[in-house]
Amino acid sequence: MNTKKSSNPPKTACWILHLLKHYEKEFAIVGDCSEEYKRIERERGRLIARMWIWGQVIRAVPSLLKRHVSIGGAMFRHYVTVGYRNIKRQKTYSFINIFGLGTGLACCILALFFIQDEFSYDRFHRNLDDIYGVKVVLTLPMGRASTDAHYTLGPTLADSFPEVAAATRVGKQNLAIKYRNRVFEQEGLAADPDFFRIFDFPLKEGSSDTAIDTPQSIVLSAAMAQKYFGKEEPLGRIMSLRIKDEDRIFQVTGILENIPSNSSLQFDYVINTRDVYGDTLDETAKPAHVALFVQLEKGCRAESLVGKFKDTIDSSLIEQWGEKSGHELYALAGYHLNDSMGAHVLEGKSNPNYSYILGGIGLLVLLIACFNFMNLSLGWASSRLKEIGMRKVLGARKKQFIRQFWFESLLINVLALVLGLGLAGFFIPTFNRLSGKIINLDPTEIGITAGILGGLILLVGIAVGSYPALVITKLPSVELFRGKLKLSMKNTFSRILIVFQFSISIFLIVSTVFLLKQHRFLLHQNLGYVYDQVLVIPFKNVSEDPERNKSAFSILKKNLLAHEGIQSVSGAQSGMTSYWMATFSEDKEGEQFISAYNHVGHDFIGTLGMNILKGRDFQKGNRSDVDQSVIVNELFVKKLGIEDPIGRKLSEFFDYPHDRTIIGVVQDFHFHSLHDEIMPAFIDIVSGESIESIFIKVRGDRLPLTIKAIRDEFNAVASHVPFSYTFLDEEIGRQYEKEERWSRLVTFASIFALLIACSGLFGLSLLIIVRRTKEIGIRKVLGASVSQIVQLVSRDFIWLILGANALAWPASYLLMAHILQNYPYRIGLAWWVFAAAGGIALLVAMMTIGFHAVKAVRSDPVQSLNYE
Amino acid sequence: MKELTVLEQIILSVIFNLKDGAYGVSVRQKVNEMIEKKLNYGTLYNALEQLLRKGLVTKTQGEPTPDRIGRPRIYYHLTPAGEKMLWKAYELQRTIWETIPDFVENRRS
Repeated sequence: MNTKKSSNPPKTACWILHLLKHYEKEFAIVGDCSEEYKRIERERGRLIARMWIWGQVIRAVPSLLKRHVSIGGAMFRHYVTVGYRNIKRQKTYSFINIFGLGTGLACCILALFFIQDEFSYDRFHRNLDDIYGVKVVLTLPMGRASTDAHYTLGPTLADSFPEVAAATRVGKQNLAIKYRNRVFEQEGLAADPDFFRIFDFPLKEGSSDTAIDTPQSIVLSAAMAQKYFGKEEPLGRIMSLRIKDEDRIFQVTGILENIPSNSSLQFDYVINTRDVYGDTLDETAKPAHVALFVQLEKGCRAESLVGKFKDTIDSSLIEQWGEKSGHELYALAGYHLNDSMGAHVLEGKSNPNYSYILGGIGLLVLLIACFNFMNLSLGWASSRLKEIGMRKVLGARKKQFIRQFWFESLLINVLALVLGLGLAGFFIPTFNRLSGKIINLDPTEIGITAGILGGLILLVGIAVGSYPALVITKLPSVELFRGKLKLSMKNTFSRILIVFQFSISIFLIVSTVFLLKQHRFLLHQNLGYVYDQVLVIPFKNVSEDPERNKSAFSILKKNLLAHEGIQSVSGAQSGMTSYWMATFSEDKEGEQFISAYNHVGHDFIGTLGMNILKGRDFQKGNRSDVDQSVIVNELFVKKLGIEDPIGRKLSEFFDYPHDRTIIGVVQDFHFHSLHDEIMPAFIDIVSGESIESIFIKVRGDRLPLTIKAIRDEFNAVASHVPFSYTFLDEEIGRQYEKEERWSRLVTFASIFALLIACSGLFGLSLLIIVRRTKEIGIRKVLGASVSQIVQLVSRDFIWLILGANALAWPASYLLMAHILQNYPYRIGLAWWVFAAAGGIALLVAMMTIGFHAVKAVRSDPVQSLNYE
Repeated sequence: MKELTVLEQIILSVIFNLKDGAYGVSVRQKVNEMIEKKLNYGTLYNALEQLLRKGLVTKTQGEPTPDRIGRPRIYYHLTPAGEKMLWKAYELQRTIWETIPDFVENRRS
C-alpha cells in the first residue's frame, strides 16, 4: 500500500468551485470533489488525481456559469447597446478617454515587457537553480575583494566533492579567426566539455555531448557561421585561430542555436580550454578572467558545500589572507539583478531599480489617463442625466447603476487595450532602440502578460467606473430631470484629480530636464585631456610576447609619423575608457589608499594633450626614463603630502615591485568615466609590458585618406590581426549610454503624460464652456472683452496648476537629489528648471483652455443665447 | 408540470435506488455506471439544483468527514412529488414503447 500521507486537493481548484457554486450554501460540490480526489489519489497516485480535479473544474465552469448568464443575459445586452450608443454619441470624450487610456496602457505594456525581460535573464537554463559560480573572496586591508577561482581548481572540483555534478571553466577569448581570406576578431569562450551539460545552449547541428571533447574543435554561433561560410555547409570546415602568436587549425564540430538576448553569457564560439591554456597544472601561471561554474546535485545546498571548502581547498587562502577568506558560491539565478558577485565572462548586471522606475513611469502615465476618465465621465454623465433619472424612477437600484457604469468603463477600457496593444506593437522597435534591449516575447510568458494586463484592465475599469456611479446615485431624481447639475469642477474630488495629473506631468518634466542636463554635463565635462580627433586602435592581439609587441609598435609608430595627416602617436596598456590597474599605497598618516597606474608609450602626455605642472615629460633619448621613471598626478602628490615630488622615489612611499623616480607631475585627468572620482595615479614606461591600445592624434582635414594610410601601415606590421578603430570621443560618449537611454525614455514618458493630461483638460474645459455658453453670451452682450472672458473660464484652472507645482517641486527635488547623489560629478538643481517646468505645464494648459474659450467668445452671442 | 429530461429521470432513479445513501459522489458514480458519457460535477449539481427548485427532491445535511475538508455530505431524497413525476415518466415511456412493439421486437432480434 502507498504509505504516503494523502494530501488535500489544490486550493485554487476548490476556490474556483467555491466561487461558481455561490447559490449552493453548503458547498457540497467542494466536499464531493475532495472526497473523490482522495480516493483517486490513494488508488492511482497524486498526478492522476490532480488531473482529474482540474478536469472537473474546467468542465464545471461552463455548466455552472450558464445559470448566471441566463439571468444576467438580458441586462447584459442592454448595457452593451446603451454603452455603445453613448460612446458613439460623445465622440470627443470617447476619443480622449480611449486615446489616453490606450497610451497609458501602451506605456505599461512596454514597461511590462522590459521588466519581464529583465527578470527572465538566464531562465532558459533548465538547471538554473543548481548553477553556481565559484569565486575566491579575500579580506584585504581595504575591505573584501573577490577574484576568479584558480584555473587549476576547475576539473578537480567534480571529483573531490560529491555535491558537484559538473564543473566547467569559462574564459573569455578575443581571437583573430581566419577562414580563407576572411579574418575577423571574434569574441568567444574557452570552456570544458561539461559546459554544454551545465548550460542549455542547444546545438542546431552537431552533438553537444561531444562537440568540444576533442582538441582543436570549435562550435560556432549561427551568426558567425553565416558570416564566415555564407551558404556553405559549415560543419567539418577548418578554420585557423591565432592563439599565442601562432595560427592553429580548428575543425567546426557544431553550430549553436541563437543565443537568447537575455543570457548572461554571450559569445560567438566555444573551444576547449586545453587549446588555449594548455594542459598545464602549473600553480603559478594563472590565466586572467577564467571563471568557474559548477552544477550542484539536485537538492544540494550551496551553503553546505561552502562549509566543506573551509577545511579543504580554502586552507592555503586562510593561511595567507586570514579567517574570512575562502571560496564562495554565487547563484547564476538572479545574477543579472542581484547585487552579488559576478565574473568577467558574464555580461553586465543591471539594477532592478530601473525596472521599478520604468514600471512606475508606466503606471503614472496610466494614472493620469484614469483621472481623465473619472473627470470626464462625470461630465459625460451630466449629459445623460435624463437617462439616469428615468432609470432611477423606474426602480434601478444602486447596485445596477454601479454595474452599468462598470460595464461601460470596461467597454472603453477594452477598446483602449486594443489600441494600447497596437501602439505598443508599433513602438516596440523605437522602445528597443531607446532601452537598448531586444524584446522578444517568450511564448511561455505571454500567459502572465495577458493575466497582468487583464487584471489591470479590470481594476482600472472597476475603479474608474465606480466613481461616477457613486456620485450619481446620491443625487435626488428630481434634480436629475431638471438637468441643471454642475457635476464637474465644482467638485473637490475633480479638482484634486486635476492637481495630481499636473503634478505628475510637472514631476516628469523636471526629471527629464535634469536627466538630460546631467547627461550633457557628463559629455562636456573637461576631462583634463583632449580627446578630439584621437583614433584608438586595439593592438592587443598582435603578439602575446611583450618584446615583439613593442617592436611592432615602434615600427608602426615610426611609419605613421611619416604621414602628414598624423600629428602624434602613442600607446598604453589600459585604454582611457577601461579600468586602469591598481595598487595599494599608504599615505603620510599611515592610511591605505588605492592608486591607479598604467604602462604607456612615449608621447602619451603630448598625444592626449595633458598638462605637465611640474618637472618634465618622458624623453625619447633619455634611457633612464624607461623602467626607472614615473609621472604622477596632482592627487597622488596631495594624498602623499609630498612637498617637492620631483626626484623622489616611489619606494619611499609604498611597495611597488619596481623602483621609480618621479620626474613629473601631470594635471589631474579623468582616466575613468565620470561615474568614479579621480584617483591618485601614475604612469610609467616599462620595457617588459605590451601596448594594447594605440592613440593617434590626427589632423582634421582629409580624414578618410589618413585612416586608409593607417590601415595600410597597420596591415604591414600586423597582417594576422584585423584592423579596427574608434574615435576616443565616441568611446567616451559610450560610457554614458545608460544616462542617454534613460533621459530619452523619461522624455518620451513626460511628453505622453503632459499630452494626456492636456487632452483631459481639453475635454473638461469643453464641458464647462458648453455649460456656460449662455453666460458667456450674456457677458458679451453686456460688453465683456475677450480677455475678460478667457480669464473667467481659466482662472480656476490656473490655481489648480499652481497647486500642482507645489506638490511636484518638492517630490522631484527629492528624487533628483537622490539620483544625482550617485554621481561624484553632477549638476546642481537649478531653481529655474522647476519654474520652467511649471511654466510649460501652465502654458500648455492655458493654450488648451484658451482654444475653447476663444472659440466660445468669437461665436455670435445670438447663437449662444439660442443654445438649448 | 413539464416532462422530466432523461438526465433528470436517471438522477431520480439513482437517488431512489440509493435510498439513504444518495449524495454527490455516490449519485455521480451510479449515473456514470448507467450511461456511457461521464457526468461531471458541474452538470450534476445544476441538475440537482433544478430538481430541488421543482420540489422533486429534498436535501438533508450529513456529518462532515475528514475526507471532505470540512464540508458535510448533502443527502438527497425523493419527495412524493418526485416519485409521482418519476412514475409519470415511466408511464410515458411505457406508452411510447407499447405503441411500437414491432419495432422493439425487430431491434431486439
